[in-house]
Amino acid sequence: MNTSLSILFMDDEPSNDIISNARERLSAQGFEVDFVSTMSAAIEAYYEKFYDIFILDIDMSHLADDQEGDGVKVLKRFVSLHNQTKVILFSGAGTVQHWFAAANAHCFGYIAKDQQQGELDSIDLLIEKIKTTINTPVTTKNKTSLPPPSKVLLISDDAELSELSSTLVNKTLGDNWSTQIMTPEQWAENPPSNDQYGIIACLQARFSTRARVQHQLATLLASTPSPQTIIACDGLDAERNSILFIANHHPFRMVDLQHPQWQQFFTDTLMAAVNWYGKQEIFVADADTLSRIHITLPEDVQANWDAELSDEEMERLYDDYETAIEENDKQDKGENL
Amino acid sequence: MMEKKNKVLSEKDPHWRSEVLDSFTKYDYQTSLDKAIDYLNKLPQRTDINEAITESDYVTIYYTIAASAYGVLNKNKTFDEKNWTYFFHYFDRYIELINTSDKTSLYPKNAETLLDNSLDLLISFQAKQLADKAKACVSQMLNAWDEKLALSVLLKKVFDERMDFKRPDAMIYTRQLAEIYLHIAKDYADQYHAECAAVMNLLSDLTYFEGKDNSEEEALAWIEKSLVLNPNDKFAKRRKKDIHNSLTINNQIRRFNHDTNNEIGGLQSNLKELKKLLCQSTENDSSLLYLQKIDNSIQRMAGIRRFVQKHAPDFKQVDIVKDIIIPLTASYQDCMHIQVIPETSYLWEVDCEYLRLALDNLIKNTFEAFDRQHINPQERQLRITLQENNKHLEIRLCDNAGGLDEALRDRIFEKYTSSKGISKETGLGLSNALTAIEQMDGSLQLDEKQPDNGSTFIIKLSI
Repeated sequence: MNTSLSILFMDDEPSNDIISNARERLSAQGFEVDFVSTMSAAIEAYYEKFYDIFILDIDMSHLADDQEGDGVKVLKRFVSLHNQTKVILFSGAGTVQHWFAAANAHCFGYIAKDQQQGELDSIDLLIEKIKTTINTPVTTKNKTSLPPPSKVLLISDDAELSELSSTLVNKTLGDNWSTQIMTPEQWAENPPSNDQYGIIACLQARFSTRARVQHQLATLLASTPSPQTIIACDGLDAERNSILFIANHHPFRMVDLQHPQWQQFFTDTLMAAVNWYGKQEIFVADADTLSRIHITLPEDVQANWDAELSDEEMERLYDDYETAIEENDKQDKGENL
Repeated sequence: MMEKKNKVLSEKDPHWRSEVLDSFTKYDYQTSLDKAIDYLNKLPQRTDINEAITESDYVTIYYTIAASAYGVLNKNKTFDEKNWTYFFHYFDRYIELINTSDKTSLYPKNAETLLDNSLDLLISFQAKQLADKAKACVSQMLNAWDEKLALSVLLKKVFDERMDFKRPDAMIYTRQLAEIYLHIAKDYADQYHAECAAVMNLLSDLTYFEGKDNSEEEALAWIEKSLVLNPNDKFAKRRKKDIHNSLTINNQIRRFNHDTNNEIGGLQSNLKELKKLLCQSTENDSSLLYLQKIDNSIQRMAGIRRFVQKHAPDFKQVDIVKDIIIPLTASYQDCMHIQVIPETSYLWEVDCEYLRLALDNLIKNTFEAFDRQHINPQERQLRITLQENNKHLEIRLCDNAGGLDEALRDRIFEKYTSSKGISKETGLGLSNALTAIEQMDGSLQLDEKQPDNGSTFIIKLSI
């Protein structure tokens, strides 16, 4: 084990057995673990020192310095500062919204504290996740500057849903794009090669936790970011295991079909997928959250705050994104008038 | 003199009546629009009538033009720039004029109509700017006429829009109009508190049914505001109680899940540490056995909680015989003879806890039947057989516990059905067994051919 790996561990209930045991076992593995119990301390620590991995709790209301805050917001914040920041969420429960938000903010992993897999307890699973995260190369494979193939693959076991999503694709991406619809069975029987698609979207109410289904999902999701994969399913507490499985396999986006505005979110996601095809996404820094957490940044960091955000590369990427949004808006306006 | 002043335009000028008003009253708005504009343009040259025309006649002309333009737009249901401009241009001139006019000679109904039309056009064709522009129109009318007229039109529009189910996004517009109402009525709070409270109740409902992450909190906030204005509103009081209860329950469930998950995680990791220590320090098999039992109990508790909360099954490849059936039957071996075929391993993908729960209920059911029938423990037989059949696994449980009452057969899996009498037990055992199996896309039923002195249940599990 590489002894120099450093971890920042954030949880607001340090006296819980699960947390103290986790800290002990991580240290026993040779990781260098710094522990913080507030979100502001976590953000300050980000500037103080380089960490290979961040482990964040979600429900931070116990000792919260920000009542509305949670680990997912810290995750977003970190990813916006560097899109290769590796964050694993280690959570007691979290809500459906947290699971989707965590996946959409590109967490590297999401382990529930009560999770168990055969002989492995959640701490074993966390350690396993840390090891695979460390071994995930920083740059993504298939990095490409080519435009995405203008074809969308829609996989669904629900004919009505495929039809509706196909209409949404046409409306959003225009006539140049074509869609191909498959059922999961058709896909499993004869899976087409991923590289002919710009986007793969898999939409159905629920995904079983059966090994065969999970294997298919993992195979599909492995292709992101070229093509970008979108998974849509019902955001229900009862589906926690399958939702977390998907979140742990890094979809480009997860869409909650139970959300009243899911169609809007799906169309936004299609635009974003085209825009970030072949690339890792960067979030716009959530300065609002930061101001509510009342953190004090080191002086030099504070001074460089603006400079950091106007980094050339990031600007270029934001511009791309904004142009896409504007075009989308224009189309919208045209339709309304 | 008085008589002359009160004459309306159509009485003063037959041209107006024949050229404009005729088509207007026949809903031929395109004609009335063209003719009214033409009439207005030619009016300066009309020496015959010029002097008799008063300010209120201009009000009538502007009203007719604007209302006609609205009529055309409304009929065609498509946006056109020209009529849109006509409407809002003459709406503005109408407002400008009534501002300085003596209201007693004007028709309030016309003012109401034009304000209503303006809101309707904004919703139909400029929804994106509805919030700002509707507020401007209402404020204009409010300043020119009075707040009573403007607010009553707006209030009616709020509730009309709420009922306009067919209009896409009607809910969004209702909300925007309602918010404008509250914003404007705020300045006249003393007079309109009941109306404001009604609008707040409406907003509460709209928010609640939007189903957003924090909808309940927002809905509760609106109801609370409404109750401040109208504390005796029974409807609002009841709604407040309902939303509050629902919020509390949801929060408690969330809290409960969070806390118990943390504890379960803690227990599991503590056990793991303890096992490690025991393995290192002693060869004491029985302590490890106890630990294993504790571990099983934790998993069972977690399984029961998942089941009660109707969670989707967590499929894992498990040895059904070695890991589920044998441990389950162990505690019954003293009171009945249980035979498992095959006795060795049988791997299948199931939710371990759900299958355990179903089998446990079925075995318990058999055991209770034996007891009820006073069957001698030596004669009690339960045979559990596993057989793969056309991509299904069939688990058959066959006993000699006397069989089922014919009358109960069809209802055996219904909730609260029990052969033990109604008051004694809850009668959820078989119903829960069925639910657990169905959750795994399997089936549980009585075999069509029942043995003479007992019963046979069949569980079918798919791949």
